[in-house]
Amino acid sequence: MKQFYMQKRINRIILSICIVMLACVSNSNASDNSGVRHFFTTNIDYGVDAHFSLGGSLPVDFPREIRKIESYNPGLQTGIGVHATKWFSDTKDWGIRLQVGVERKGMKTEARVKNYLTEIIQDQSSVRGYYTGLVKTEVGNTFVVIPVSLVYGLSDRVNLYGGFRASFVIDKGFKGYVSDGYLREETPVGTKISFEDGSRAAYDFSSELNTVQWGTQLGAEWSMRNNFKIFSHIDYTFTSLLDKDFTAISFNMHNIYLNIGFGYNF
Amino acid sequence: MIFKIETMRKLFLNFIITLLIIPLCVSCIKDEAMNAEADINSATIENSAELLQTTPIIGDKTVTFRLKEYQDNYTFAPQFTLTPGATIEPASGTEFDFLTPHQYTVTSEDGVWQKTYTVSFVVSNNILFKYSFQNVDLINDRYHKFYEDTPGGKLEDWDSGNQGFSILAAILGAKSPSDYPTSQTPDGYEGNGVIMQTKDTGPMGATFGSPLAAGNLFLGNFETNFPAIRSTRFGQPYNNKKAPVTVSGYFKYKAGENFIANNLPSELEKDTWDAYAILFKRREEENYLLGDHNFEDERIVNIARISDDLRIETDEWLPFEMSFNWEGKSFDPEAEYMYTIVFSSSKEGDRFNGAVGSTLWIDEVEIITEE
Repeated sequence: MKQFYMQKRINRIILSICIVMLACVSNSNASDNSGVRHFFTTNIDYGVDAHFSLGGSLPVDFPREIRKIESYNPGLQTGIGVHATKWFSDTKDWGIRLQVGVERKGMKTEARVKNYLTEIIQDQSSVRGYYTGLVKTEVGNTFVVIPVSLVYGLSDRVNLYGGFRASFVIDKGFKGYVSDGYLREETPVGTKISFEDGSRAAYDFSSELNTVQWGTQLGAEWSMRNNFKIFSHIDYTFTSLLDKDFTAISFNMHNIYLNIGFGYNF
Repeated sequence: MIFKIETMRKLFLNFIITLLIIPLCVSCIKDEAMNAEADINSATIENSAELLQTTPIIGDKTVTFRLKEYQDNYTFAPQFTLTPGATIEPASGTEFDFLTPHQYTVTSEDGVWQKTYTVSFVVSNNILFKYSFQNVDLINDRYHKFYEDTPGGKLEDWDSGNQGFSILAAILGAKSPSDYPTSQTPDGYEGNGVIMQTKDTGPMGATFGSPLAAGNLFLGNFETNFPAIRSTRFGQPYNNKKAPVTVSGYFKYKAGENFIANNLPSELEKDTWDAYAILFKRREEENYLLGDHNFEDERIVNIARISDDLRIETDEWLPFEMSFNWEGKSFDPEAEYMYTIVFSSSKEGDRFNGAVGSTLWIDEVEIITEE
């Protein structure tokens, strides 16, 4: 059910983006102001793009508590967007690009940890302690992203681009469970709570995600003859995935993703 | 153009290489941190097989050596194994007079954490075989644990699920010991008694796979474990040369209103209480019956269980008796046995079926042996 509403929400966002773009274009056509019309019609490319992402929410400085990554599954993460590139000159050496997109990012991991300070949360109540054992984490978030990039025309076919991006989380998911291990209540010498025989305790940190995340992206695109292009970029968020006041995970995590996709320039 | 094409190509290549290296760099596993735990993992003394009834019982902050017989000399040099890298003060193997318990402090390998254990040597002669539930300790300022006074220290024969419940206690608003499933009541049959009540464990309890907590009391030890049924470790040494015949005592019972079966099938439509006793053979390792024994463990020698005509609701104290049937079974006076007595405010509490509010009062439990 939730999935269905999410889909509806995404559809609505995509629709709004399209309408805004259309309005911009038609407005500029109808305008008598030749300067504005000139800006939106000369040396400007409009395009749409779609991509898939490979990456995860990772601690940049890997904490000692993590002893072993047992498994990692990037899942199928996709995104779509529209963009406009305004070139500063006819030679299209340098330009600036504004993008608006919707993307899904996530991963599934299974890690072995030792003395990992965590909290098992359920309906506003929680049990806090130091956990040693297996932790399964499933991250899945939907973002509206607005990247602003500087574009450099390396050749007729190849452009490099890089810049900053703002991401707004519209669907949050950061949850998992612990199993095959034990929790020491409050401190490493607290009462021992063991989890055996596949017994597990779930946690859900979804509500602790930062809603607005700032980041950067860097990449390259190759144009083909028929207005199609393929591209690849990495993006990285400076903002920690989880709220900095949230202490159930003792280290900061940042989104880092490699994206590969194709686009069409009008 | 600011850069030559060639320079840009190089830059671009570098960029691609960086892109490939970053994920590798990020996933570097660091050196393991020093241990932060400070546990006594095992304990022993010289000639332990001759002197001890069972392997020393290691609780959260206690180590109890149960001696087979009263010794004139209480001087022992207990030896401990600890969390790797941890240290103990006084040192393992130091001789002390254990007529009174001694305190040991364990310090973790990283030096940050400490835990103090009370180490005691006790004798349970089981001569009277009678429990009146007059004494309780307040554990972690939270809940009751019953004990008997013996030479050498407290004998904690009885345990309950209170330790497990205490994980959820703050969330559930448990403020006093009587908010826990098992506690002492001043309104016993004679003096103090035991009150057991089936409690709601809230949404968090369900997360831990324990949607409710029946009040229980048993001879044995509790170690918080999930699946929860593996936490109850039934059994204490049966230090007697005569076979047990009957377990007797007094009870009151009130069933809670809404019986909920969390695990089907259930034999019940209305909640009722349970009491049983089991005599079983001793073994060296894991010398206990787990909560899921289902009366089928091959070590079991004999079972006594409360009859259905006693599973009634009553406001007045009533006597109960449950008997071992020795027909076709034999008791060996030279063999070493373990025994347990288990009470529960919900008969199917082991499978989390019961009614919140079901209350069982128990007092003056006695084990009667053959003449």
